[in-house]
Amino acid sequence: MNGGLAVIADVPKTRVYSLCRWLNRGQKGCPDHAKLATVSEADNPLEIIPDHILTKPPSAELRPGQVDQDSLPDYDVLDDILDRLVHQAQAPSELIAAGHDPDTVDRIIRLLSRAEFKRRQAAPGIKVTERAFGTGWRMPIASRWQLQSME
Amino acid sequence: MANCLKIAIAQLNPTVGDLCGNRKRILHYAQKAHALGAKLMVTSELAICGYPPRDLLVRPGFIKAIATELHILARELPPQLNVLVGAAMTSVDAKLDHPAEALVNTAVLLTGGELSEIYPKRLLPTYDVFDEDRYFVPGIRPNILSLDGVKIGVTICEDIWNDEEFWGRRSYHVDPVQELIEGGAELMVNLSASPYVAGKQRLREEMIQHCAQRYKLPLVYVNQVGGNDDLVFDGTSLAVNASGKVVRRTPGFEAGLAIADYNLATREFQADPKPTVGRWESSVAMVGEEARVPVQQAGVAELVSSLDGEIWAALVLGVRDYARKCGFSKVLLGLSGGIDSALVAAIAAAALGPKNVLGVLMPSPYSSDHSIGDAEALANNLGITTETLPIGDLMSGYDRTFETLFSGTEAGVTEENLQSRIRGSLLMAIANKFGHLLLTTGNKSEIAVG
Repeated sequence: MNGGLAVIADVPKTRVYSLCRWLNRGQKGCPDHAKLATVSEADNPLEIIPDHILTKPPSAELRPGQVDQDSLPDYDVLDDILDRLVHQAQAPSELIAAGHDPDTVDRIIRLLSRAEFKRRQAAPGIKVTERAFGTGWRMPIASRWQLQSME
Repeated sequence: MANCLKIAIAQLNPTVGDLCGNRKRILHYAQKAHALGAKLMVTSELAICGYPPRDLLVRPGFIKAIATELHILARELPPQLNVLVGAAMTSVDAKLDHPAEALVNTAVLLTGGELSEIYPKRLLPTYDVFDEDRYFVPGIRPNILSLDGVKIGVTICEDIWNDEEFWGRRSYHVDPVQELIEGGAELMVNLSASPYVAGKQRLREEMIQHCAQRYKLPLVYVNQVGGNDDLVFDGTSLAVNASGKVVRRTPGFEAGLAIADYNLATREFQADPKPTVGRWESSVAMVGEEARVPVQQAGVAELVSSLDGEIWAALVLGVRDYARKCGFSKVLLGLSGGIDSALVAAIAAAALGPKNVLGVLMPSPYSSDHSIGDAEALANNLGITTETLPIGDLMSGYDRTFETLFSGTEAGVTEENLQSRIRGSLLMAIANKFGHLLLTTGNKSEIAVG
């Protein structure tokens, strides 16, 4: 693990997109001291985040042609599942009742539990949601609690 | 205005553990408040040590040093001014009966050169990021301060977050606000350190308005501002009348001093004769930059209009204060050409200025052409500098090193992850070499699923 501060560790991917679009729409309502001066020479004078970054499919580019959605559901689906699991402490049955695919829910829960040891090693993040990983999320690592079967 | 009790709201940005620096900041605010005619100044919760001090509180030397700084501050303050300072004190100093010496989260009244009263916090939050039961014991009596014939109820943060009418339930048996009303309080002050969460500013204000209306109780709410580790405090302090009307709201995400006039005839805060924007007025520096105190004497500052704008302001302040309080002036990050590193680069540029941000491009043989182009276009838009360090040679070096050990296995996730590890090592090396702070770029969805 590397790094001193995990700036967007508490910003879900769908919010990453909406923040970037807000930036490109002229940072409406932004306090002066937080405003970003643009030096863009692009066609769109408001452009901060190049349009192509916003429109291309997200990819870690660790192998040829790889995209994030090879291994994960669409981010609006993933973020709703995570919002219910992490922020609202919902049980899998509630997620399924809300229309989520049971296999996907099951898989996301396994991934969430399995990544606990990585989060313990990560740089501190900045809290912006009602439950951020870090001091507000104190889960065991060596645990046999199976969210999917017990709740 | 002779028939007014002027109350100063000190919306401070303390650094945790910088007791001397925090004391000087409180003093500068108090001098300014006094010059503006204030009779009472209220700071945020634990303003002398910064919130949250975490396990510094278990070090007896830290608690002694807080008491020492408070005594120095009391002697330095303008003698006519009463100041309520948030501080951790021992139960002995707070005159709270407890079997073993314990700690108390208090509002200390500094007046006439002394620590004249100590008001303990009554409700100790122990959920989410809060751990106050780990450190403190609660006060057991309502805290009432009499000033100019006004009985002022003194509460600290959580003390006002237990209104079953507003929340639909009680979280604690005790309701300190109700007890203050029974004790005759006609005005309330609250010293807070309420961390930012998206949308919380509006919820908090509704709760405070509800409290004012329910108990016919004008109140002053003073919140800490600034980033301390993982928490960002948004300020957005308030003066609210018994009708629920917000008479003063300070600008969020920035430190400053606001004044609210409590009219002793009408027993209400004076509303401004004409609506004003409510920004900090620029103020003349007294003794260098450290002593600059932005002032707001009128108006109700606007809340940030969108959730995106709010979250952006919080992240910018969080990065700026983390870097500043840890002693970094420059930061670096890996620029992949993706959206996560683009957003972090933009936040860093807004927080510290583009000249203090280094973006490092580390293309591999699998990087697409557009990734490099997109990262360069972004850096150009932001005005940040970049360095390019291709990682292909290092990847081959790892392959050669593992050739025998990994022979007969499929190349897969292990080899993919090595690319991230190589990039991490390069970034840490640059951070090490030049003393920069390394910002990581993972978003919450990614961190959730690993």
